[in-house]
Amino acid sequence: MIRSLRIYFLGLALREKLLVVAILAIGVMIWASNFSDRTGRFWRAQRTTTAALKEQDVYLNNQAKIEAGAKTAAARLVPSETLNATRLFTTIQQIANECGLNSNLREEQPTQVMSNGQLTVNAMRFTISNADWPALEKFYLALNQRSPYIALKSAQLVPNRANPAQQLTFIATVSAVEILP
Amino acid sequence: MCASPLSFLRSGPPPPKIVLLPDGLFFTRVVVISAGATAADAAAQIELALEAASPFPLSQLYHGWFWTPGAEQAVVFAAYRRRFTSEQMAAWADAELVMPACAALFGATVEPATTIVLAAADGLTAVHWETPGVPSRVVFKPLDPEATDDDRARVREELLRAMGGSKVVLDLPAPPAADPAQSDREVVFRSGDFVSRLPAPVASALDVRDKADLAALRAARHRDVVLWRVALGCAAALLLLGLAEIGVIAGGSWQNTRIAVQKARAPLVEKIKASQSLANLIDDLVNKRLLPLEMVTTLVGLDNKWKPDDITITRVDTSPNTDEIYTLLLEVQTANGSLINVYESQIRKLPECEDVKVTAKPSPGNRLTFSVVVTFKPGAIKAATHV
Repeated sequence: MIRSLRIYFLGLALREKLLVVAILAIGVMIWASNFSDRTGRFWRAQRTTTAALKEQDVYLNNQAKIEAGAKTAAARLVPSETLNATRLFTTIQQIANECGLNSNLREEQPTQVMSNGQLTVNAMRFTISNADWPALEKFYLALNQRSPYIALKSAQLVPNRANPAQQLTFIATVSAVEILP
Repeated sequence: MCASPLSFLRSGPPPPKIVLLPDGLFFTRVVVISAGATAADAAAQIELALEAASPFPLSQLYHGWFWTPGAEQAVVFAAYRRRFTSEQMAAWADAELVMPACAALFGATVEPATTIVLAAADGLTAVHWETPGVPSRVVFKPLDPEATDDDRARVREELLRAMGGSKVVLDLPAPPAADPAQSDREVVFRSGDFVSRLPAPVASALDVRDKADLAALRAARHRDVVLWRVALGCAAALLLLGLAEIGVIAGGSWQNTRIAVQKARAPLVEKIKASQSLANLIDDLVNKRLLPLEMVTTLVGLDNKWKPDDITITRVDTSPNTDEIYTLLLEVQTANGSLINVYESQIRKLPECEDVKVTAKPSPGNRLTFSVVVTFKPGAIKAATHV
C-alpha cells in the first residue's frame, strides 16, 4: 500500500506535493503542540495524585497507631481544666491579682490560633509593667503551675532603666487549649 | 460507474512507465572498456567510442549503453535525433525509462553461448551472449510488414548463423513487460518464464534521452522523493500521535480512578490527621515548655555567679527565632568589651548550652552593646519551683 501511495504521490504535480506536505506538517505541529500541553498537565496531575495517595497510605497504614497516640495524649488532659478564650483572660487576671500585679497588668483580647473540631487553641498577649522581681517570680511560678493548660509561647524581660535591679517589665504570649465536648 | 478514488491502493503498485522504442531506429555496437574502469570512466570511454563510430556528433544522437561494473565490454546504442517525431517524444516526458526494446533483455541471467531472438512488427533482434554478463552481439534484421512466417523463419536462421554457435536459443514473440515496481533498486522485465533484472544504476544508463534533460529529471525526482519522505515522516508522526492520544485517554481514565480513590479516602485521612495534630499539640504542651526565667537563671548563675558584675542585661527575649523554645537572646551592655569574651566562654562551659553566638551592636554613649544568642540542649532546662 505504501508503494502504491508513493507512486501516487510522486505522480502528483509539484504544487500538489508541496500542499500535501505542508498540510501534513502543519497538522503534526498543531497536534504535537496541543498534545504536549495536555501531556504535561496530565503528567503533573498524576504526579500530584501519586504523592497525595502515598501520603494517604502513610496515614492509613498508621491509623491505629495515630489514634492510639491521640487517645493517650488526650487522656493526659482533663477536659474541664482546659480553658476557652474567656477563661484564659480571666485566669491570667486572677493570677496577677493573687501576686499583687493587678495594677501592672495590661491584657490584649485572646485570639483563636487553631480549631479542628476536637480542640481549640487560643493565644493571648499581656504586659506586666514595672513589676517588682519577687512578685513577678511568684506570678511566673503560678503560671507554670497551670501548665499544660496554659503554655508560655514567648516572653520578653526588660529591666526598668530607673531601677534595673528591682523592677522589670514582662511581656508574654500564652496559649491555652480547650478540648471541646 | 466510477472506480473508487482509492482503488489504486487495492490494485497494488502499477508497473513503472517505460517507453520501449523500435530496435530498428538504433545502431548498436559493442565497445571494449578498460579493466578496472569506474562508471564515470566507462561513460567517457563509451561516448568517445560512439563519437568515433557515428557519422553524427554526439549532441545529435539519442544514446544509451549497457555496462555492468567490472565488465570489459559495453553495448552502446544510438539513434539520430531527427528520426523521432515531437509527438513520439512528448510521451517520454513522464516516463521513467526510454530505451530500445532489446535493452529490456540485457539483464537476463543466461548460460554461455545463448541467443535470444526478439520478434517485433518491424523486424527481429538477436541478442547473443558468449559469456554471461554483457551481450557480445546485438543484431537487428528488418522485416517487411507483410512478411510471411517463412520469411520470418528465414531471417531468424540468418540471424542465428550471424551469431555463430549458440547452445541455447530463446524466442520471445514480444518485448518483455515491466513488473510492478516493488522497489527503486531494480527494474524487472518479464515474459513468461523469461526474467531480466536491471539494477537501477545500470537501467539509468540505458535511457537514451538527452543527458542534460535526464539530469534535470533526476534532480526533480530526487526532490520529489525527499518530499515523499517528509510526507511519510509527517504521516508516521500523526500515527504515533494518534497512538499516544489513546495512551493519554487510557491514562486519563486511570487518573480519574485514582482521584476517586483519593476523594473517597479523604474524610478518613483528615480524621487521622486531626488525631495526629491533637496528639502533637498535647505532647508539645506537656513536654515542650518554654522556660525563660529558668534559662536566664542558668546563664547568670545563682546570685549572678557566672555573669561579670560589669555586664548589665538590658533585655531578654525568648523568640529570636520563631517557635524555637530552646533559644534565648540576651541583650547586654558593658563598658569593658573584653568582659564579653570572658562571659561567652563561661556560658560555653555550661553543660546545658549547645551553642552561643555573640554579636556586637551599635550603641550610643561609651557602653558597648552585644546580643548573646544561646541555644540550650533540648530537655536540659527543667521547670523550677523556685527561680
